[in-house]
Amino acid sequence: MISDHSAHFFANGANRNGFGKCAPDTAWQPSEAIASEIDGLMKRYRKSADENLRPLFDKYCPSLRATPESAEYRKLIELTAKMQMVGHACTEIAGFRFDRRRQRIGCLFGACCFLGDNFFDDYGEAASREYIRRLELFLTNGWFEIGNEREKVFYIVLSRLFFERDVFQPMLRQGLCSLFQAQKLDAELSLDGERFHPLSRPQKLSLLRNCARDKSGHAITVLALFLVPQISLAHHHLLYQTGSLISCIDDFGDYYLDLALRKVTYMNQVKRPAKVLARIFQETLTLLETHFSPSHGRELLKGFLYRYFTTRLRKHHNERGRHDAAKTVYE
Amino acid sequence: MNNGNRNGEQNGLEELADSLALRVQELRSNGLVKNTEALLNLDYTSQAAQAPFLFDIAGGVLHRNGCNAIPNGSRSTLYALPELREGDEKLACPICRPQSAPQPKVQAESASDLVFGIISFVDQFSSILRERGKQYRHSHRKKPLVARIEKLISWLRPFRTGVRKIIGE
Repeated sequence: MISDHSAHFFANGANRNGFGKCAPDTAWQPSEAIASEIDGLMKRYRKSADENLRPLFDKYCPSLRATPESAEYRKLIELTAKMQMVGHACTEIAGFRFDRRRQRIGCLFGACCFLGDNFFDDYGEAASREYIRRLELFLTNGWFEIGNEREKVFYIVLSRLFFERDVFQPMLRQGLCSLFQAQKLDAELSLDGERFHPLSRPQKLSLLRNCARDKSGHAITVLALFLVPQISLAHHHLLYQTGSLISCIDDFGDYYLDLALRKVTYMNQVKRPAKVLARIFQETLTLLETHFSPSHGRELLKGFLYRYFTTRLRKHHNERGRHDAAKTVYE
Repeated sequence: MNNGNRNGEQNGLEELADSLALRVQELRSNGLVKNTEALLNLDYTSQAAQAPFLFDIAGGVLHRNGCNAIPNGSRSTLYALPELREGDEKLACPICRPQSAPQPKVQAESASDLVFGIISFVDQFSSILRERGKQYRHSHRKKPLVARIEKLISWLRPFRTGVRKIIGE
């Protein structure tokens, strides 16, 4: 059982001051060499995302790339580049090479997550409910009603992704269904707020915390299974915790946007979110440091998490006080 | 074969597979299959009930199915496992102590299910497919498609022996 979280490699607790400024107040930060390598890799994976996805979107969903500087397409590329970066680290940790095929899988999975989130979040309540119904039908029957070009490209991305691996592998199929269930709960927490009113505040926070954990936890599990089907259970657990942290960082970055959209998340309900996030960040990095064998992949993963944390801290700081629902593009 | 050719061929195959995937969905939207007929079911709930092990991926603990020590908050993070692999026992729950042993087989989908699935489709829609085939034979779209299919067949050749074994030919 993995339970020993006692080996603190942070000289000073990150939770001492929280994050009042735009740099994580942690004693740990990646070495210059790793930070610079991640910088280069992110540039490479943006290019790879564009090369892999542009032909697909040009053919099946040109409206998403309507203008060369389309913010939506840039968001897609940023998300996909991050997915590849995390995928690269996971693959190396498992002892494999993040080759072209795996990069392609990372791109397809990134596009799939981007479009799935878009369906759940961007078209209002009625559309969210309808997408929940249709995606459930797809997972349990394989049928997907294609009504517009965005749905067409989503279906094509999914079918190409499913073609890459045996989707009947027990863990992979459970991961896909659990990811859907977590997304469904996340949407329902906003759609059916009254249903959760009888819960006490600690119960509600616990539900929101688990929802945040499961959303990205199952997502990173599915990504890892598509990239390295034979990955060990011990690694799965550590990656799940990584996913949980990513979800919290993400929600912290979207704090003001989510409030404007009346979307309830653990990060926008908890008191002192910056301090809570700092604690989760520290605990997760300690866990990774303690339980992953020393490897280049582990350093890439930790370095990426630090970088992601920093960008979302900046986003949170920059967007303080905004009340509009316009989406902004950050790395 | 140079990279350009290989990429071109790969793209051609992918587009062919895309068209096929889209066509398959049209079967339902055109009312050619019943709403109750499933094409693909990824739900593992019934198989999970029979699986001997449950892995709490958030807690990093491996349980026997039915272990009372599984925390309530972990219901959404359990993965049912039909068998254990080397090293998994390090994550064993100290209460139920799951161990690798010969387990009754959990009914699993296999390649043969896919093959029989395809056969059932072909069987069910043979008359429609035959009619479409006749129309296609005389259409101007035939030539490039034939070339693609020949490539697809040569690409599939290594799998043929395996498929024959599965269907008991």
